[in-house]
Amino acid sequence: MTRFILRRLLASIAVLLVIITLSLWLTRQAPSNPCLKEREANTCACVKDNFLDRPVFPVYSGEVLSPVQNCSFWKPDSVVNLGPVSIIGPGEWGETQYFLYLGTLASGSLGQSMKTDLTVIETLKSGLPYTIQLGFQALLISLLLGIPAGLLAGLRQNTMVDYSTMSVAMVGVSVPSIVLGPLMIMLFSLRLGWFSAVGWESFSDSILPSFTLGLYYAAYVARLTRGGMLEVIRKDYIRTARAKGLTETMVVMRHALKGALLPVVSYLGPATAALLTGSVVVEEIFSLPGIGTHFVRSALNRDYNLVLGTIILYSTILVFLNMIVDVLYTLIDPRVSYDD
Amino acid sequence: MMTNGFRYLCAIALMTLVMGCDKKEPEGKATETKPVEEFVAGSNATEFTAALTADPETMDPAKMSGAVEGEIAMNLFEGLLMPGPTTEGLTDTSKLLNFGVAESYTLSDDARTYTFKLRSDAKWTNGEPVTSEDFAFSWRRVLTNGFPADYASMMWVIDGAEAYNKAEAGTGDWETVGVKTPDAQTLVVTLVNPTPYFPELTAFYTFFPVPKKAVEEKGDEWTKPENIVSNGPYRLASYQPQQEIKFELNEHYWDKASVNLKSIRFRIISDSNARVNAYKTGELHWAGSGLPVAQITALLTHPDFRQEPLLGTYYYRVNVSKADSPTTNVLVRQALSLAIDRDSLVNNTLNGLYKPAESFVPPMPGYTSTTKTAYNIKRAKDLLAEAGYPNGKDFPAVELLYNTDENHKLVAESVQAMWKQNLNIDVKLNNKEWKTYLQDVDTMAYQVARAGWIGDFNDPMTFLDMWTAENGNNDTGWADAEYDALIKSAQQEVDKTKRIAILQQAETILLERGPIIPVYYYASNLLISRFVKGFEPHNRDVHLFKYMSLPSK
Repeated sequence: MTRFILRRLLASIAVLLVIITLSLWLTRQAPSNPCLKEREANTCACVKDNFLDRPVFPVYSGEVLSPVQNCSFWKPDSVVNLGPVSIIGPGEWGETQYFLYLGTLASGSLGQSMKTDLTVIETLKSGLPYTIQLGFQALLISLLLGIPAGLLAGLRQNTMVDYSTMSVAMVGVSVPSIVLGPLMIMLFSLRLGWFSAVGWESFSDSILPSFTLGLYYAAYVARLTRGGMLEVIRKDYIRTARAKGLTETMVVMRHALKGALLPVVSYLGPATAALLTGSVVVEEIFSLPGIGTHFVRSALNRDYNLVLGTIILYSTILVFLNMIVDVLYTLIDPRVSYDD
Repeated sequence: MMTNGFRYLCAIALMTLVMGCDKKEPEGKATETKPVEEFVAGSNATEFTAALTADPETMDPAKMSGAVEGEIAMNLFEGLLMPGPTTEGLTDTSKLLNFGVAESYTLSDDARTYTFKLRSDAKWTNGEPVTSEDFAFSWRRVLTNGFPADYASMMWVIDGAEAYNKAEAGTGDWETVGVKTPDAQTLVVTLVNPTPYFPELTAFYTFFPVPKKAVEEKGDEWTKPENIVSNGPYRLASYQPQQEIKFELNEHYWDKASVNLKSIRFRIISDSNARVNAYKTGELHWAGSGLPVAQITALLTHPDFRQEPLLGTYYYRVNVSKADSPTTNVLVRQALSLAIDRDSLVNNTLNGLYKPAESFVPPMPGYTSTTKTAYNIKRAKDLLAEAGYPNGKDFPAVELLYNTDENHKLVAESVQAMWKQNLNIDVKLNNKEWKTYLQDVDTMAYQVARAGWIGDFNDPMTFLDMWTAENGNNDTGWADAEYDALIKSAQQEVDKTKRIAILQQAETILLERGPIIPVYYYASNLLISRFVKGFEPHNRDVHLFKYMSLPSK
C-alpha cells in the first residue's frame, strides 16, 4: 500500500509538471497580452516587469516574442538557428519565461498577478474558503436529495412515483446552472425577497448558489441510486431476506441499501472534485468571491500568472482527490488491490 | 478612463432571461402608465454602499488608468485642485474645479508658470503634513523612466518632463524639469506651452501626491491596506478581493467637518446584471453606470434613474493604412458617415439612452464644434459614386470590428442595415473578445472598428491631439500635416479665443478628412437612491463622497 501511494504521488507530480508546461504554453498562445490597454499606456514598462519580452521556451520559432511595438527587448547572447526553430544557448535558459516561472514555483510562490497589486497566492487564498464551502454544501444537498429520491424510485419501479421522480431528475440533469441560477435569483431574490441576489455576506447568501450547483449532482445521484437499487433488489440474498419474513423496511435499510449505494460512493470522489472546480459559472452568476470568478476574469484579462495559479490549484485538487479515491476503494471493496 | 468593454460568459444568457420575464408584466395595462417596480435602494444596507465593477488594479494613483481605480483615488487622495461637485461647469468653467490641497494659485503673464500655495492644515492619514515636497516626489516618480505609470505622458505638459521621462533611468536631470519647491507650502510649475487646462490636470489622479515616507519605506507594498497612507477625505479601512472595499473618514482631513458620510462601503460586482439585481434587492445605494441597456430600459421611469451627460464619444475608427481597403478613400469615409441616421439609431435602437453625435468633440464648456455631422442619403450616394462605386457596385467586402457587448452589437447591426439600405454595400460584422479586439486595433488589423473615447479634462485638446500622426492612440494610420500643424499652434497659442478657433478648424479637418465616424455622445445612465443628497451630475462621472449625504430614515 505504501509503495502504491508513493508511486501515485510521484506520478501526480509528473502529471502536474506536464499540466503546468502545457498551460503555460497555451496561455501564451491566446491572442493579445496582459499589458495591452484601450489607451496607449506605459506598456513597455509592464512588459518588462512581467518578463514578457523574452522567449517562452528555450526552443522557439520565428521572432523572439514581440507583443508590443516600440519596446526594446531582451536579447539572448547565443542563439543556434536550426531553420524552422531557434535554440537559445543553455547558459541562458534560466532567462526564458518558462524557467523563470518554474523558479518562482520552486521558491514557493505563484508569482504576482499581472493585473492587480496582489500576489496570486493572496488572491487564491481569499477565494478558496468560499469555493470549498460552496462545493461541500452542494455535495451535501446532492446526497440529501438524490439518495432518498433514487431509493424511492428504485423501490417503486415503473409506478407514478418512479416516473415523476425520474422526470424531475432528468430535468435536473438537463438544465444547466447558467439557466437555473438566474431563474432562482428572479424567483427567490427579486420576486419573493427571501435571499440577496449577489455576493456572499452571510450563510443565507450561500443557499441559492449551493442549490444551483448541487441540483445537477442531486439528479445524477438519484439516477445512480435508483440503478443500484434495481440491481440489488433482484439479488438472491434480498429474496432470502424477504423469505425469512423480514419487514420490507428492514430488507431495504439493512440489506439492500448498502449494495445500492456502492455506485454513489465511487461517484463521490469525482463529484467532489467536480464540485470544487466546477463552480466557475455559478460563482459568476451570483458574483461570489470564490476562485471560479478569478479564473474567468484572469483568463479574460490574460493575467498569465493568475490563470496558471488557478489551473495549478484546480489540477492539484483533482489529481489528489482521485488518488485518495483510489486508495479508499481498497477499503470499501476488498476485491480491489493495488499491490501485485 | 477606459470604457469598460468586456463581457462575461453568461451575461447574454442572463440578459435574455431577465429581459424576457420583465417585459411580460406591463402588457396588460396601458403602456403609458407602466408600473414602476417597487424597491427602495439601500434598504438592506447598513451604511452607504456603492458598486464597483471590478477589483482595482492598483490603489497607487501614480500607476492607475481605469475608471474603478479613479473612483477610489478621487476619494482616498486629494490633488492640488479637485473636481467640483456639479457640472454647472458645463456653462461656467469656473465651477468645474474646487481647491483641494492648494488654497490658491497664480498664473504668470506668459501663461506658462503656475504658483500653487498649499494649505498648511493639509495632512496625511498618519497626521503628517502634506508638503510641496510630496508633490515633487510624486511627479518625479511618475516621470521616472521604466516606472509603470499608465498616464505618465499626461505630465509632459510640464517643461522638461518629456525628456526626463524618456531618458534612461538615472541619466535624467530632475533640476531641468519645471517643478520647483521654494518652501514646504509653495509649488512652482513651469509648462512647455500655455496650457489652459493645466489646473484641471492637477485634479486628475496621476497628479495626486503619494506619501514620500511610506513609499520609500514599503516600496510596492505601500498600497496594501495595512500600509497605505493617503491625504483625501477617506482612508482605506479594509479590502477583500472580489468582495468589498471599506472607507472610513480620515480623522486628519483638513475639511472633515463638512464630510457627511463617515463610512463608505464598495461592493465589487463585476456582472452588470447582478449589479442591477443587487440594487433592486436594496443592497446598494448607487449601482454606478454602465448598466445593461435591457435592464435600464425597464427602469427609465423609476425615480432613482438618472441620465447625465458624459464627456465622451462613441465612434467608428477607420483604418486608412491598408492599401486594398476602400476606406482609404476619403469620399468613401464621408459617404459612410453621411449614410448613418444617428437620430433613429439612438432613439429607436438604443431607447434614447445616449445623444446623437453631431461632432467628434462632445459638448463642453467653452467650446462648440463648427462642423456638424449630417444624415444625407443623396449626398452619400453621390460621394460613393464619385469614389468609383455607383450604387455600391463592386464595393469590396468591409469588416466592422467590435468587442463582445450587447450594446455594440445592436449599434453595429443597425449601422450595417443602414449602409446596406442607403448605399447598397455589404458590411460583415466581426465580433471579438475584448483583449483580442484591443490587439487588432493596436496592430491595425481591422478596417472599421468600434471605439469610444472619454475625455480626461474639459478641453477639446483631449479629443483632438490623439489624431496627430505620432500619437499612440491614433491607431488608424491617418496622418495629416495640416492637422498636426494646427494642433501644434493651438498648443502654443496664448490667446484663449484664438486657440479655440484653431481647434475648431482642426476638428473640421478631422470630420471632413479624418479616420473617424462619430456615432453618439455618451451619457451616464445610472441608478442612485433618490434620497442621497449632494450627488450632482458630473460630465466625467466623478462623484466625490465628500459632498454626499444620506438623511437617516
